Amino acid sequence: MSEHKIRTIFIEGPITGNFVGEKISHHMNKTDIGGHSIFLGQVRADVINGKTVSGIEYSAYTDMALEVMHKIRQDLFDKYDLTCMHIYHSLGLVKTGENSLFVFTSSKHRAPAIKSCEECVERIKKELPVWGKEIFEDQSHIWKVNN
Amino acid sequence: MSIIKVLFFGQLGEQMGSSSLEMNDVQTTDEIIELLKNKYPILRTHTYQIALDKEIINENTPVTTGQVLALLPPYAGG
Repeated sequence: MSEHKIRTIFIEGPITGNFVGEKISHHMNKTDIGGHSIFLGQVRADVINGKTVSGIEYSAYTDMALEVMHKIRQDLFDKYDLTCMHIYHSLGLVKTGENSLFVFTSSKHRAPAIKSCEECVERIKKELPVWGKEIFEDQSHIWKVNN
Repeated sequence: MSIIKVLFFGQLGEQMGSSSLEMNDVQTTDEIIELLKNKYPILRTHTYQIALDKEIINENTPVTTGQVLALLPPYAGG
């Protein structure tokens, strides 16, 4: 499939439970779907050198990130029999306990939805030009690096 | 004369105190990086990838006016 348009994935601030719920509800009229897979990335209160993380402030090279995401999306649609795929990533401050990434894949059967969701998350972590400043409770910070 | 815009992201932007600058009269990406390292020694101690017009490049590449070079420290999305 190559007809997908480049669309934004970025949301200012956290991805809320209501937002996720609405996106799920939007799929109830799509009766060819048999399974969804959802990944939610959540900000952890890591303790680093005795200091506790209170949130992550995300920034991105948005123009490049949207092109990279478009490529990942195309690759996954080519590889798996998917009905649809939605990706949202936060920018700005996301506090601990809040969600910063939402990947939502749907297909006729479970396997393509589950596999593509996992692969999408792994590729986002590795390929998307997004940066995160881990802000501690005392307002000092360090820059997070994905493993 | 080539004018290239250079973007710095994440900790690079923070430590350099600016998120962008322009380089005049440069011919290649290696030349730009070498000039930047001389002017901003902090770049010698950081890890980053280089993107030219939003595509990651891994070797020296000629540049022309209007192109955008970006220095991308390790990613932390997700």
